[in-house]
Amino acid sequence: MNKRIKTIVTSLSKKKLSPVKKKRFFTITIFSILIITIISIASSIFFPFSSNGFSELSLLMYNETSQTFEADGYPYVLESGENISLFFMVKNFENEIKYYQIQIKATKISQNATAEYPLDEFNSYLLNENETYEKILSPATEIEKRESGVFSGDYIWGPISVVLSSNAQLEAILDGDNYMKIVFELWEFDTSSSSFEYSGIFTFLQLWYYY
Amino acid sequence: MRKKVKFNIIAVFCFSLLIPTILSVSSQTQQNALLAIQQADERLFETIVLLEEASKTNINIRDLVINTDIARQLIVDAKKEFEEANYTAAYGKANDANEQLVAVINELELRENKKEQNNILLFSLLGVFSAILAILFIIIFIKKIYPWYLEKRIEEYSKLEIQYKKEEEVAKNE
Repeated sequence: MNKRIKTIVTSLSKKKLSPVKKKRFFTITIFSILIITIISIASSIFFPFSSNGFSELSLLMYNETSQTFEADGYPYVLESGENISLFFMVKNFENEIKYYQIQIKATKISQNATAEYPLDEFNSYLLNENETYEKILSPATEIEKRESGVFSGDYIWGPISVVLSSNAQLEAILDGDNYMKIVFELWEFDTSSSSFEYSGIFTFLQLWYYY
Repeated sequence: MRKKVKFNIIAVFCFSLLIPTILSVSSQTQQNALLAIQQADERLFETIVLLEEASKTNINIRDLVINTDIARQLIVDAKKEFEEANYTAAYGKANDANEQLVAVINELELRENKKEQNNILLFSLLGVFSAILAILFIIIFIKKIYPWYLEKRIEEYSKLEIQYKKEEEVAKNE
């Protein structure tokens, strides 16, 4: 490919243009550059960049020794009457502000969590119902989109500590099963319907429930 | 004895007046708190719509998003206070949220107007600049390029030589 371009350039440079043709060529080039510049400035002002972005939801644990958050060392057992704590974090990589909500649901391991539909109330139990996990977030800038391993910023929600505890309703949903799933669903406020809609983004933690 | 009876009558009369008054004040506070919460909720929705639109343009609204989120939290707190029958506290928090959201909306409008004015100014300058460029080009073309082109054309034509073919060659060819 490079060879081809090289040959084209050399053939063009070898070709001698008359002064009139040269002038004409430069005039056309300058004018086309000017027109392209004007169009690009106008489009950047009137039609700002808006590609499809995404939202990020992650579950984290706090490492006491390294004093950092990491996606490792998750609990795998929940004992009856005991509780476990972990953190969730949401990042807004969409190109607009988002009003997020997190719903934490417990269900049997056999119950599938999908991006199409949220878990329904008959097959799952809404944990921490009294807590409101909601946040309005600014979108990440182009520089922030390239950052990694960041846990604070205007486009980040969290890491938020969540304490999950067992109770009779949770045991009723499990119906004697030992394996369970704690599903974190990300919901977004939809201004057209004035309500929170399931975004299709979820993450879950598998636990062994010890009666 | 008579005095006591008189006092009791007065006391009952006073209570009968006071209790409905207290009840009506309490109900009024509850009503006010509820209204303030509803108003704050509607304003929050309006603010989110405006912020969504603004975030699609290049206006910096990060501080306004933070303030809106603080107001949202105030509304959540106001609702909790209302559920716990602390109507005065609920009213106060809902009112604070309302005030904060009004300030956000006003600031947003101000920034949008400023941006619009900047756009008008930028495009006016761009228009003037383009017009000057066009005029300059026309002047240069009329004064310099066109006469130079004419001169060159004459120069090129003057170099031309008329070559006549010899009669013999013409005959040969024929």
